Amino acid sequence: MTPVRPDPWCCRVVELAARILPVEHRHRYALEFTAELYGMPRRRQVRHSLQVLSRAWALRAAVAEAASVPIEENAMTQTLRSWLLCHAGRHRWDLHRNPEAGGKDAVFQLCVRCGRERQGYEPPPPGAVIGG
Amino acid sequence: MTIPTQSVLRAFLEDPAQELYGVEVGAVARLPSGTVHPILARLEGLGWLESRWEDIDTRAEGRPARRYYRLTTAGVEDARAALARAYRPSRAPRFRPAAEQT
Repeated sequence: MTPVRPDPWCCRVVELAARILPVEHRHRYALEFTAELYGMPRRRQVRHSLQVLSRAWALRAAVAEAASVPIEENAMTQTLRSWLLCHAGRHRWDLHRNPEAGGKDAVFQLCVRCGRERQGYEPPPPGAVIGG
Repeated sequence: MTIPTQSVLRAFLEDPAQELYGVEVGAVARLPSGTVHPILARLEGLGWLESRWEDIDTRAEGRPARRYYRLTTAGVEDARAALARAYRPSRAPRFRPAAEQT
């Protein structure tokens, strides 16, 4: 027997949940969430899709954790607040040093929340404490 | 390790060779379906789980392929060890003699 097609609104809700995820994971999870709706009674579809949406930020943190490198450890615990702050341009910069480079190119700044590198950053004067 | 993660691992360890998709995991582990995917993503990131798309003829089945998860060989051992470490028997209740009634 062919499973009943899922409710279009529930499909939109799970697609919205997938849009919260990092770009490289969106397509996979949109397909995965939609496939899970097939064969469910409509009431269960509604409940399931809302639960998936409510946990989308936790999933975002989980997939970021799986793909993270040590310098981005803080980004994997990104919350809605920190995500909004970073998208509003209010990053929290932290100084780092590249051990393979020298001179002023060795010093750079990264946002501790989203891992983005600051563009046009000038290194601090000699004697300043550099974190990293 | 959180209780939901333990429930998910137990669901897979019931039959380590069995593949489950997200909703099935939630049903076996008795968890709300939304909570399952973050746990599956973490366990997959650790290498305890592997996933693949279901190999079906989507036209014949009338639905898209599901994403199936299963424990890896290393994941079976790691999950058992982690669950053994996580198990903490509850303290035996202390029975006190009832206060004598006068």
